[in-house]
Amino acid sequence: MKQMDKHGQIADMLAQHMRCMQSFYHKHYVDAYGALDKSANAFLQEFRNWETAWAMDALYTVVYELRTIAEMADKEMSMSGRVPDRLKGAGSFLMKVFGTLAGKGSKRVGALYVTCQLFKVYFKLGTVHLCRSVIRSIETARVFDFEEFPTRDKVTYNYYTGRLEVFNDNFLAADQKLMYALVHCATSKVNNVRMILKYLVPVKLSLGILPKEALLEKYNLREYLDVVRALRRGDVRLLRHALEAYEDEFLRSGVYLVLEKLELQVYQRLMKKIYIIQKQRDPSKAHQVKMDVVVKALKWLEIDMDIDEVECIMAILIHKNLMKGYFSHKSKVVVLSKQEPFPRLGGRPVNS
Amino acid sequence: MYAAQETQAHTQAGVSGSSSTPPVTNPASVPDYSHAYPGYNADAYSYDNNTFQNYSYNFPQQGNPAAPQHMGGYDASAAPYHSANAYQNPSYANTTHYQTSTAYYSSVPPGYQNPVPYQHGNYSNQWAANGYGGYAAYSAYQGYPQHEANGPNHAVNNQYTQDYQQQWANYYASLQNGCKVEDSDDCTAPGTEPVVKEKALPISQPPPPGTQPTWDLNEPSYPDVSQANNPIPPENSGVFVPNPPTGPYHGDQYSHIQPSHFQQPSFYQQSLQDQPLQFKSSQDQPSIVQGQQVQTTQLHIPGANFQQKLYSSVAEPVQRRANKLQIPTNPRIVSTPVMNPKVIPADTIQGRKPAYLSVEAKPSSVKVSSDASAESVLKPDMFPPSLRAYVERALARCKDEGQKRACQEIMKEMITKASKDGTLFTKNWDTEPLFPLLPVAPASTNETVQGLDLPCSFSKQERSPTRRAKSRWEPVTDVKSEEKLEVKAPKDGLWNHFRAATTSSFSLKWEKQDNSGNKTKPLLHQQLEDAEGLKRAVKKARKSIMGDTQEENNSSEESENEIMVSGGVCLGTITTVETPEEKMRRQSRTKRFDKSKEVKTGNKELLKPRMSIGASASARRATALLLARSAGDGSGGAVEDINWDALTVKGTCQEVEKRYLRLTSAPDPNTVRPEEVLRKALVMVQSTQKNYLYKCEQLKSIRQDLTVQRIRNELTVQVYETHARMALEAGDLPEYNQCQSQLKGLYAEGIRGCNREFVAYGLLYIILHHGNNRDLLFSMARLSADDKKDVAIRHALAVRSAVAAGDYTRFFRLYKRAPNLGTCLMDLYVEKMRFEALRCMTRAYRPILQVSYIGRILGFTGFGALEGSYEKDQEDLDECEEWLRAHGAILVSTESELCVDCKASMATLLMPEPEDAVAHGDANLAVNDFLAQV
Repeated sequence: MKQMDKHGQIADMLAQHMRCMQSFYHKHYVDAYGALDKSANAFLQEFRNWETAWAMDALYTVVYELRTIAEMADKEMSMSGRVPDRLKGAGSFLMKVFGTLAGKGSKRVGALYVTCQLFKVYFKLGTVHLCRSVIRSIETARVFDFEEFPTRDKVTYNYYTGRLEVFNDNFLAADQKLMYALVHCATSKVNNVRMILKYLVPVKLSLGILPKEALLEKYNLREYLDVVRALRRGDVRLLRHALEAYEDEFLRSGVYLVLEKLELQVYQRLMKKIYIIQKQRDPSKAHQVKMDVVVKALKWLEIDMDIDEVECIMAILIHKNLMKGYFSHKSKVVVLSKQEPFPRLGGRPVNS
Repeated sequence: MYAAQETQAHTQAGVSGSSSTPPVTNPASVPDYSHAYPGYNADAYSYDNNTFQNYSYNFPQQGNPAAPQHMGGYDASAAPYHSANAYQNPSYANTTHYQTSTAYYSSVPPGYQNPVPYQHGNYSNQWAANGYGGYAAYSAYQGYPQHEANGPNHAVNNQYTQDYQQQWANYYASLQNGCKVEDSDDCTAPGTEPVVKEKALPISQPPPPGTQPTWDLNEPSYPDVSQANNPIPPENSGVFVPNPPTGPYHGDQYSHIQPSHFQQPSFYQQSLQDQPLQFKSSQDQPSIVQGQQVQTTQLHIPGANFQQKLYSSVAEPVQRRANKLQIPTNPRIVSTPVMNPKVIPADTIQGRKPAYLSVEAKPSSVKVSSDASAESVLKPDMFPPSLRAYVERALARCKDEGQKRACQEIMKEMITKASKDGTLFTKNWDTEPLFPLLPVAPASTNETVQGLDLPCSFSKQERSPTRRAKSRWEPVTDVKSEEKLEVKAPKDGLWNHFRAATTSSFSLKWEKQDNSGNKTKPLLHQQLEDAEGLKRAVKKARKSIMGDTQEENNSSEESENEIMVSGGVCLGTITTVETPEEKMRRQSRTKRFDKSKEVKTGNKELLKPRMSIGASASARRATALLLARSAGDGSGGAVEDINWDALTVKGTCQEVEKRYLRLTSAPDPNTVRPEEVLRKALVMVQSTQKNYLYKCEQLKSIRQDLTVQRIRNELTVQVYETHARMALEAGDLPEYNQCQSQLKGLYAEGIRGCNREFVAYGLLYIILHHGNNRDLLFSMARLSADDKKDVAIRHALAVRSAVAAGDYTRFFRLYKRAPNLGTCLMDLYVEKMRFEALRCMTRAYRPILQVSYIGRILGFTGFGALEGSYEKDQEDLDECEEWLRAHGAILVSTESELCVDCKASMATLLMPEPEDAVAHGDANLAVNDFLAQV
């Protein structure tokens, strides 16, 4: 009887898998997903009963296929005007798989892979908040050292968690995770490196670390070229233009708000430039920057700001410790500190 | 005539599966009862257990194994119910149907139980607990809309009296004989009500001498209605004597009431309340007082029952349908060999339905009439239930006998045709439009009767046709023709009151004339009635003047509560003079109490079915669900296939103003306003001078009505936009948020409105109050290039960047020139921004900073400049100074002006506790309003 059951599961698994393959061949992805889902469920039931993780690779394949076919099915559904919900279904199945793997034992090795697949599902669905429970389960588990997971999973995991940190404006953590991903990512996987850099560059920029242009060129990250140039030159106008030009892209990838905050750094650079020029002219009075000079400089950059606004920017620069010194309202002068008036960020986020 | 009735009754009995009924010797015992109804025997008994269980749930101390006497009483009390129940839900015998039966029970019982308590209470202390148990059970139904509470009462009456069959048979017979309505009423009405009481007596106690005989008489007479109606036991004869005279009177009333449906919850309660008292007295003074009582109850009931009928028509049939659906097996099928199992339940069900469809006042009579007439068109076992429902619907519209007869003719033709076509069983009769009615016969009858109607019914009476006019059973297409009829009836409650006042005296005369047969009794009754009626009238009038009537009528829960109150839980409250508001509050409190009680008793058997069946789901939805379920697996696919359009409620309420009450059951079309009324309501809200709470409530009720009718168009957008704006103005962010999310969906559907204005609000809201980067990015990514050119959206985006950069100068500039209501949203962020700015300033500026500058930059001043008034600026400056001090800034006076000592202030800055912090959490809400709200 038990034997029968076992065979019943496998038969179901295979039959449904065949059906899935056939539907897939005919490009009926919704049907293919339906069959694969049944097959995967049957497989999972069997998998639960196996003591060892010998079938882990098979599970990886099942999970991967289920996710990708669910994506295809969703596309097909939205084309035919239905509400796509297959990926969501795949997500809940993956959650089941994760539950099977997350415990102790040899099967735990596969947990991170499933987690990454779940991340992909959640990021695609825009339900990123669901990641949190999975992350907690991964990071709080003491029984299994994170380093014991396969490298590819670790890279993927760090990439996604790094992205999540970007959303949360937690640049230090994001930097750390994305750096981990970058360092461990196989250099041959250019596209993966590019994806990591896409988030790592803005994070680094906001920490005051600028990439070489060659790097951006190499990984085809031209959208950041102008941003970096603007930071180097203190060119507020250029930054704004760059943001405008790539707005859609930045918004979609979610780095827009990060890049936008770079504006203060650009102002800092601009003030530094003014300071340097003044120093060249008259070192004794260089530490006093008059407001009308700044206003003039901004005007030259085609940015129309009145004294109040500039004052405000100066106050914010001082407040955020991008500029040392004080502002005299009466005389409309920024008095810069004699020592290191423009502290470098150097990997530390802007004070807020 | 009686002979005819008798034959009819026999046929009826045959239909229902009960054969001859031997006389009952001991009415209080179940076995006897079951003897009386051989057909139901098993059913009744099983049901008994159910009820008993229910009771015991409520009152454990009673215990199951009661003394024989107890048992007897108990069973008896349950028994009448059974008979009725068996009717409706024939499958009690089967334990698996227990649930459904309880479901039915749950929907119906309040009414049923009501009588129980008072019986016991009146007759013996012993049974007080029992009665209370009834109440407890009743309270468990609290959630149930009033209709259920009301509807059943009549059912109860009927049950107590005899069987429906009997009545129908009776009525049918009368109809067949071509009797006048009066006659038929004469037969049923007087028969019914007195009998109720008499039966009640045996139930509560081992047979009081007088009552038992009556009951016995009734039982044997079961097949023969005429006998039942003219029972002649020595003691009880007194009871019956008064009836014949009242009969005609009632008949008149009924003939009118039947077509039109009344809604008047409070009266009903009162009548309920009165009943026990009178009842008691009736026992003491059998003949005269009881006669009075009977009359009064009858009189009250018309008023009281308007609603009953209405609600019951909606809820009960549904329920029954649901029952039927769940219980394909019918015990009766076993007893009566029938070819089509479906037909039988249908028959019973349908037979039931009319009882609820028709006027509650004379539920039995009217219902019977319609049913009987339906029967005359349809031979019981041969037609699908939906057809029967259709026929009943059609007949329910008829205003008089002539019409009814014509209707019957038409329908007979239709049915013959349908059966010839073979479409009889395939046609969806539930959605079949009704054929046009013949013009109402003599308008005079209608008018006079309306004018002469009982005092208690006056205020609602006129409105009732409107309500009844469109039952859910009627297809949408029918609405217009019905509305035409309604138009005649003035809707103004005040006018009605006035009229009622003038006519009340008149009605007295009328009664006298009418009741010529029995002069003293009607008079007596009339006096009694007048006293009661006037009291109520006054109360009613006050309520409607306060604009509360509608709410009273509409909120089923409330009215149910009221019944609760009047039913005996707190007898005193009803009579005391109280403002509607007070009453409301009291009710809500009672409700809360009851709910908790309900939970505590944990009467799951009652609760569960109630929920599962969704008792008062609209009839159409029920049908569709039925279809879906019967169609097959009942899986999600089936639900998807339901045509929701066909199920959507179409409102008929004409009131512009309506209080918001969260729906706990399917909406009742009678309390839902159609689109054009909602339009008026919106205008009213927009132009009203009342406070935000009022507006909010009104808008919520408008939103509710829109939602239940699935209206999603420009009006919907307007309503949500209006509400969102008002919420913004009042600083009610949660409400605003609801509207905003709804608007998002509406705009996404392509419905035009002030899209961009609200997109801008949405952005501002996220920026300032939500702070979720992902949401912000998502919203920004959705903006089109055109959107970004919009003033409001540009403003919002500018605010966003200012906030992101902490650029307070820009923020306050944008604050001053925010388009639309952006200022309101920004207002809520201003304090935070100012404090951040002050921190920034104290850090950046040295040595001092002028207060005037701070005031200008932080948006305290600068408004005055627009008006060119220096004084205003000075005031604002003072405010700024105050604000600075409050936040710990250290101010120093220089030779020219007041300044902030930045370095000193740096350490002392603090965010003060908001001064306007209030215990109830919302500073925008006055405490009194808050309390009123709770």
